[in-house]
Amino acid sequence: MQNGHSNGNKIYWGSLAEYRQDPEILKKQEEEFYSKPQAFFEAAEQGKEFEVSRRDLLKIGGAAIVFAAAACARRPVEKIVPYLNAPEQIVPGKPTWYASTCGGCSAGCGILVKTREGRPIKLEGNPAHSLNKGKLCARGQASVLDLYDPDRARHPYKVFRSQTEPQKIDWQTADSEIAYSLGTVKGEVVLLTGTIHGPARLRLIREFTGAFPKSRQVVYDALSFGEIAKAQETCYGNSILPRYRFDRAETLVLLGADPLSEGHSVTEFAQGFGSQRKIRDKSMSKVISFEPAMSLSGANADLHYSVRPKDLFKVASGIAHQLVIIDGRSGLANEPSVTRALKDFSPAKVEEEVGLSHGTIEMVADGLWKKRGKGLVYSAGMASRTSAALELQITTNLLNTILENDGQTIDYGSSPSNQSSGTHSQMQALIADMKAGKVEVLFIHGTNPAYSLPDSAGFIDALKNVKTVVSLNDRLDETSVLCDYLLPSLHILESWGDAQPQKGLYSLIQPAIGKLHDNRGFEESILALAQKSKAGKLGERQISWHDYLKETWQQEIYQKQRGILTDFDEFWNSALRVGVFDTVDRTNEALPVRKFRVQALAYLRMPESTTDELGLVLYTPAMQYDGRANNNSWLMEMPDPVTKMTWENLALVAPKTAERLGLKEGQIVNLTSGEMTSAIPVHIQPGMHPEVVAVAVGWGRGKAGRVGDKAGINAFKWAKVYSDKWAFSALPLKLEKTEKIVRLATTQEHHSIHQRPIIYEASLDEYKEDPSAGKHGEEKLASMWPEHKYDGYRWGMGIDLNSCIGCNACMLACQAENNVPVVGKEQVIRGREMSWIRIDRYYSGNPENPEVVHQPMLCQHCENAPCETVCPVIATVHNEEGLNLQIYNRCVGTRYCSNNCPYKVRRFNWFEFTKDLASPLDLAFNPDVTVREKGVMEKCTFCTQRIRSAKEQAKAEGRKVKDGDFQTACQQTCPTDAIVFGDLNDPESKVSKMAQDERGFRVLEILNTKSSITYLTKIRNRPKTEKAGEHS
Amino acid sequence: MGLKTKAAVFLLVVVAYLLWSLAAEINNNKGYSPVQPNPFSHKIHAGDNKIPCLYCHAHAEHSPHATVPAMNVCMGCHNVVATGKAHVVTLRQEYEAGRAIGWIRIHDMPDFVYFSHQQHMAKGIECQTCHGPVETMEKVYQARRLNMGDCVSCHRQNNAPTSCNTCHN
Repeated sequence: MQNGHSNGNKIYWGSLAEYRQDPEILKKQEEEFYSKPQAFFEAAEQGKEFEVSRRDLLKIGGAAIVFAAAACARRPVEKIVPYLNAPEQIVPGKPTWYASTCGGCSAGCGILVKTREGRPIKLEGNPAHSLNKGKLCARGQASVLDLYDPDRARHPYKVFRSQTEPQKIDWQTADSEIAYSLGTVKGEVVLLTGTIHGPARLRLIREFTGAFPKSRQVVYDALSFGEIAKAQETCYGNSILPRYRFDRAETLVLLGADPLSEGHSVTEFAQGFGSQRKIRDKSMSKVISFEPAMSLSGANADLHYSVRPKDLFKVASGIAHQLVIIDGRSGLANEPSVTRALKDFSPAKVEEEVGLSHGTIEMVADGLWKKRGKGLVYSAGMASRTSAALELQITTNLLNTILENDGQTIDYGSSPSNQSSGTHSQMQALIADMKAGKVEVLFIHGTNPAYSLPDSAGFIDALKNVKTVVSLNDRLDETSVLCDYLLPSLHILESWGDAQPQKGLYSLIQPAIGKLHDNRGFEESILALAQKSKAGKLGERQISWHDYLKETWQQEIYQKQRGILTDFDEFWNSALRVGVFDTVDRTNEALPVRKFRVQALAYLRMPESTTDELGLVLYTPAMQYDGRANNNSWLMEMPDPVTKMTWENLALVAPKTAERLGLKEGQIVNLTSGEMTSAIPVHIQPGMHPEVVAVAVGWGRGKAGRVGDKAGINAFKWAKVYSDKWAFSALPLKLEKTEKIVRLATTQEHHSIHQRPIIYEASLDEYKEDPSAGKHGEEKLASMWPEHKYDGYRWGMGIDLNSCIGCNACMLACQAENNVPVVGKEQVIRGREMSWIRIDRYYSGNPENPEVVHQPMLCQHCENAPCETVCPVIATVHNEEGLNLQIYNRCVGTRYCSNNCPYKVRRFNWFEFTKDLASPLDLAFNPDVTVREKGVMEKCTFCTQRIRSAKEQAKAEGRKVKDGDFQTACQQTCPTDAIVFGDLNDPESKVSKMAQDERGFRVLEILNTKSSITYLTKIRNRPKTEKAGEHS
Repeated sequence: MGLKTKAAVFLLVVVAYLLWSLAAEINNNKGYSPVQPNPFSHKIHAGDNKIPCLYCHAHAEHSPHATVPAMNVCMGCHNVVATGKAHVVTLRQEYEAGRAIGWIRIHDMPDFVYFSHQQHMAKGIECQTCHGPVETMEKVYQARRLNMGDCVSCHRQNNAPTSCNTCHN
């Protein structure tokens, strides 16, 4: 019997070791609380004995007495230093909010920045912003910590391109020297940046480059979607990045793509995806994923198929063949060029080539056709970015045209996306120009090509032929150290600026804090250099960046509003306050299907079969993204949503492959592909194609700072460079085993579910027959204690397992809100990570291709809490509003409560995790929440500080707290609204309705803990009997 | 019980009582009255001149913190008032030099305690209830012990919430 839990037929497990009842794992799970000192285990790991000599014991004993005596001293003197001149808008003790735009990636979500006494401490999505509608992804939540990164550069440097140590210089010297180079320039001046879409920022860049002959901006993103725009151009004649309407897609087919992690508009995609997953009128979306490995989006699919990356376009073509040739659907069925192009891709042939049953192709084609105009085939992902990435996009476009999705779920005209404008071809052209010596002055900002490009791309070499290279990144990173100067730029929370993530949707960026260091905004530097070198029209003006921004908005943006505000200053202040200016007509959502240029299909032919070797697939990790924020300890300790690994990237292999090659979990292998050989530990990952080895990019930073350096390996270096593109998938691979095995910092194996029911699920058909399908009726159990009485509020929560996509946004929001510490890799290995809310990821079904469910697990605030009865000092009690309270100063650290908690949600501060926090990281703390010290237990408090604020506010207004007045941090940010919180005593509240839902169940109800959290069963939109995920 | 035993017990009781009283005095901040960097007198300002508490400690009505006034609040009067007095001269010098005075905090709760002036003011509690007769103080001293027992007893008497998370979170 597997060590998982039995729920009728279904067995769930958190990892393969659990599935196999690996005795070592079971033993580790028993060791929740080590009874011996840490040094004992460290010694044991090294094969040594840990001994305490009598001398040591006496020394320690003596020291203890001295410290105890020294502790009996008066508390230290505290000072109150008031303002010199009090700023009007700051009320000490109350937050001040600013609307701005997030800088976690270039998606441009609108945010509200919560500041306390002039320090941003929390970011929340701006509810008024149409892109993210009040939600924010995990990386966005984490980005507030980057502001306080101690390894940001604090002043300009003269860098010497790594010949010697960088030297501090002052701004005047830097400006003079660079302005001199600009003033005497004869060659090209190039601004190499990441994606920028703000109109004023772009205008400044245009005017700057326009001041020099032969000058331009080159956009390079480490993760770029250039093939989408190229395919759009080839197929339809407009080179755009569409706005994908996942919120209108009732059927979604993903081909090697992971929009929930790597999409160019992650929060928007997640929201849209989640809204279609909710059960409404007994229906929900159907999501089918074909991919080489298991991505987050694939984990959330109803049906998941493992396919080699090079076979993805065969699958797409097979579906097109089925639709057009066999079923005769759509106008294109009469186009001879189309039928000719598709004739080789019959489902039978695809089955032969790919190993995917033709029944599956038929089923997918049928499902898509039934929902034509309401479906979406999406294939832009790093795992599908083989050398044939463009061809895959063209085939995808063909499918979407056949299915009439174009214009319905693919917005190409109303509000297309500006969120990712980097292309490989731009960058390659630049490198060629650099090599040829044409580029004389190169400015780099918001991109790190020395890190994210393989050396064979030639960027690092080509730098030698550029006379002056200036980095305007924020630190001495991999690219900055190869430059002549570093003019460190500001964090977005310190900056002015603007954004236009989608055509017609504008927002401003405004600083929420003054400059922390002697840095200067990118735009300010450009202006200063233009002025100093008297470059063109721009150089003759004495204008600040803020005024330039305001002027641009007055000249270009102001007139777009429909004449409501007649005074520009009123408009400007309104835009700043509201945080968004939306000119998109959102009343008419659909556009006509575009004409497909059938010439685009000229390339389509069945290539020769791929051989049976292992292929390397690079993929984008959900937390690290392109590695830009690797010095952010919150992100580094966040578990990857699928592998649940932290602090490093791994070589993922399928169970069959591991068996065949004799690989163990954590075994170090030497992987060689292209120019690089790297040692990397193996992780055996269910749901992968056996011929694929997958490695995440975005790790292995060398110059990110104290947190990011040396974590993982830089898989970007394995990308393959072609003349006109780079490939990240289906790369050649050699794998060599070593004898070394290391322990991996996973967060999924610490707890065992002991064969108890944790998850209830059913198929959609079962649900339609019986809404409570999947639940196993638990008898009403008698309780030893009288019921608690709740006369006022009674706080409770509801979590919809269908909506939860496992994206970790809630974990990051909780970490930011509640000062949850980071413990580091060693402690994560011992199971001591501190997240108050965690996402447990359970597999079920076939270990080669399992189904996945994500379950947020947090303190259940049980009415019959097992923890409350065992605390010897009454540090945890139940209050009259249903909360289970944890009083930190009372806790003496017996850990009996955590021992007793069946959900294992109580986290213990084994060490003083906030000691030695490098300045200015201490500014990031939320002053409303106690910072816990060593020896104290902590856990989710249902954001009691937010409950308190809401009650104070309501009291001040003489009323009760209404549903929606406040949200817990996790609820507030969840892009799919999986978490609902509120007053269970209010029958109209959302959470009360959720508690009455027939899908509702409580975890471990058989223990009669009477949890305050109702989970809704996971409903999968696939037939009950079909064994999901198997291909013949 | 023999005489020796009785004496031993008596001694033990006395010692225990003394130790207990000593322990009770740990962290007893009642009467704490440090010397401030500038000898501001509440007697002159709040007493003789009857300046209301909220004039300076303005945020007490809408924030958890009453707040010590910013230097520009002092300058509001002291630009012209009592400009000859030695300590006003020092005050103005500090202000002009751009330095705010670092007052020594007297009424201080540990960091794990939340106290909201706003909530207490909303209930109409006088400042003097907790802070004592401040308008008579030349030099401010802590008038009450302000330990947890002090707060809870008042909460109990006045039907205020005594749930732990009212103050601890």
